[in-house]
Amino acid sequence: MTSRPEDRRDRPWVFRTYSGHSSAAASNALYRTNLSRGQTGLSVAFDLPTQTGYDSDHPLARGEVGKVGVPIGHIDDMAVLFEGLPLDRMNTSMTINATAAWLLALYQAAAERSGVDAGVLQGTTQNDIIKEYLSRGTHIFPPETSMRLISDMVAYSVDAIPKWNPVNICSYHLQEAGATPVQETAYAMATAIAVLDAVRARGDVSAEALPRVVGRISFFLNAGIRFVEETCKVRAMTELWDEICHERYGVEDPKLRRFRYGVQVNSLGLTEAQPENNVIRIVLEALGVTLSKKARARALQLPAWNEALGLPRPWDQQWSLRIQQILAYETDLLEYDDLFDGSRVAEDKTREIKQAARAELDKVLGMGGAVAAVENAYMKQNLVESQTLRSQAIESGEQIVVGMNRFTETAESPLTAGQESILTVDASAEREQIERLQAFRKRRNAVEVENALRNLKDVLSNGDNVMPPSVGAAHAGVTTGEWADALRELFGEYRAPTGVSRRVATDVSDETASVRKRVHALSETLGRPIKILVGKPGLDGHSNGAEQIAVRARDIGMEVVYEGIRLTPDQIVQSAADEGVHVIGLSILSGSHDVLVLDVLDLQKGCAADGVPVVVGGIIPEDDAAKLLDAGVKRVYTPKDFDLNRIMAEIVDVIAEANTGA
Amino acid sequence: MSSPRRTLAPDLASRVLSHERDAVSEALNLADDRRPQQRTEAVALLDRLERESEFPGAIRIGITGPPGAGKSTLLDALVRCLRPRGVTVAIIAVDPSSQRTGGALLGDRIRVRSGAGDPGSSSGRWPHATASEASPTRRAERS
Repeated sequence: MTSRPEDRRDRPWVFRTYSGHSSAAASNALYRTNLSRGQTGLSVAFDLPTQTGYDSDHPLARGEVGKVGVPIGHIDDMAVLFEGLPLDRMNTSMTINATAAWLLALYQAAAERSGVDAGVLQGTTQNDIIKEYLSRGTHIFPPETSMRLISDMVAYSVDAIPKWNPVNICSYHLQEAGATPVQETAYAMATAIAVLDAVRARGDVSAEALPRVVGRISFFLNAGIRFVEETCKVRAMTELWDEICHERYGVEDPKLRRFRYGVQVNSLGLTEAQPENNVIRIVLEALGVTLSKKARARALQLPAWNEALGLPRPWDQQWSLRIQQILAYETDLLEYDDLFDGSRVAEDKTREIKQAARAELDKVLGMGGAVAAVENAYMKQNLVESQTLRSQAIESGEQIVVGMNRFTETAESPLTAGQESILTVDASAEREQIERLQAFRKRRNAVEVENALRNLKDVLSNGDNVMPPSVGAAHAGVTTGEWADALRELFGEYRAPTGVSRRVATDVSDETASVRKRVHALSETLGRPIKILVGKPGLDGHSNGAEQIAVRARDIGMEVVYEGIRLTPDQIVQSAADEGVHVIGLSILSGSHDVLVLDVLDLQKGCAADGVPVVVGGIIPEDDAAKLLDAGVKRVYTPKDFDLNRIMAEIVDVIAEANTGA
Repeated sequence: MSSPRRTLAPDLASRVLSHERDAVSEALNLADDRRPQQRTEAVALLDRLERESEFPGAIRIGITGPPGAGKSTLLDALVRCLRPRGVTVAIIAVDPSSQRTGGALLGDRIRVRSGAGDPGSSSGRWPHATASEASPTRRAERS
């Protein structure tokens, strides 16, 4: 008798939730709760100082400590983060890039200290620097140095931590930045090739080991609301990766050519307006990466329904976890073979995406590969262009977003009412983390730290593998800032191209034309063109919104000063003064607006930028917006403000008001 | 709310000549201003600066080229080469503005890295600016 379908269910993917905040102890408690609710893997979110290599007491860390993730400054923090969790059995994914080698070293050192051998550790360091340059913005070093650090980790882990995925090629952030399915596919493949080519060129990874190295490359994808197309996208990527592994790297074992990927579904399309609708969006997006068995995600993390409003609470995260559990355990999805094999529609669409992605991939390889296409801004410009087209389509209503640009009439939602509807990080978290860090510095052995840092620098200058001396430094008590400073000293820092300098040829709507007329008239009155500074203070690297504002401001005839991410309030005010701008626009998504915007307002006083009006955009809860307006900010914009022309018209009003009587 | 651009002080030229960074910024705003009165003032200012400059008849060099040609890299190298000799440097970057919209993107200027954080060099982009010269700054005096 044949077994019933429900008796041969596939094992479900790994359930994760991207989380971490405030401190190692608070995050540890959160992880335990999540695991007790049926989560099967961990996904660690680090705060921005940890991601960009600064200690919590560094001036650039101000306002950012514990905000978007957990601060990890040294081995003790790492030990507290995983206290009581079985590191030998845990599958831990770390969203860490520029400082990935360091956080892996801390993880290994913390495991070793608790008696767990590095050889059994399982998990993933994200470690995809290309998409940081393109979208996420937590890079530190120039591309060449970054690629060396990545290939060091690959070469090290293939023997030392063989179950570790040292690199997780991320197309997730490319879609968030506007990538079409074809661009997402092509640029992910180009990035994976850049990493593998770098490893192959090293000389210390034998030809026999190369297939195993290829087999450790994993991916991290996005899944948007067009879930049929997304299903075909993951099928196309699965086929394309298999072909690349075979053709380019000669991998014969089909197991090592498997396209292994995790997913966080789309955040870009989640709305602040009627946020309860996001739950439905999240479910549909999860289908796109689970329906097709042969291209199914290995791990899934779902965002919370209210993340466009602020930090989600534990209950919000639980709701997203329940979506995964219902999909995996209640539905019959895991009982069947691939649903799309033999479907002409799916196969045609898959072929179409694959062919177009191949052509785009060849183009990038033709210009020297992913690194070259970062440096010459080719990929970034294409993403900015795609994002511009997308936001224009939403503005014009051509692309429908329910509850935002259509069907906006709504009864009052009982879900969003009340002040407690998002999580706020306790303001004392930063101070307490700094106190713990300073106490740690006092109790460690200064001589050991000094020796470990000298050893690290020697190894880096010799061109040897960064991992062994980093693990040594982790044991010795070196801090995150010290490790990164040692590398900064040797390799310098890198500012990626902003990608907004290319003309986007688009039809101009009547609204755009009418704002442009007002800009010209006001420019005439003021004697010179209206000049706007678009600034991103702090460590937050999510620049997609700032770029869209910059592009539109230019298109309506303003002169736009946009210098990319990670500026201090001091640099922004100085630049506003030097350039003689008429308005300052600040964009912050990390939740540090309370500190950084007030710093800008303070610094303006008494300098040449005194009186220049300030407008702010970002993920800013209502209460905070009121505070900023009280402090003197002229306008505050949040994700529900999708109409760029209206924003521009209001900015023109703000400038006109500030200059009456000029 | 006061106007973002303060009224033109009569001693703007002296302030520029005494290397006051904000004054240079004001002077550039003036040079950029198309209104008739401001035009006249700008010409007078430039005349006076030319007369009283420490370096009358200074040579003006423009660096231009298509994207990716290496302009920023060359500027970076020039700044690195000049600064150790005790010379102060200002970079006046000029971007083309669109004929159709009048808009312009003045980006990536701090990619000239050696300038950042060095009080003896400053850079700014001015779509319509002529050349000028700036030097140690209020920020330097503050810090």
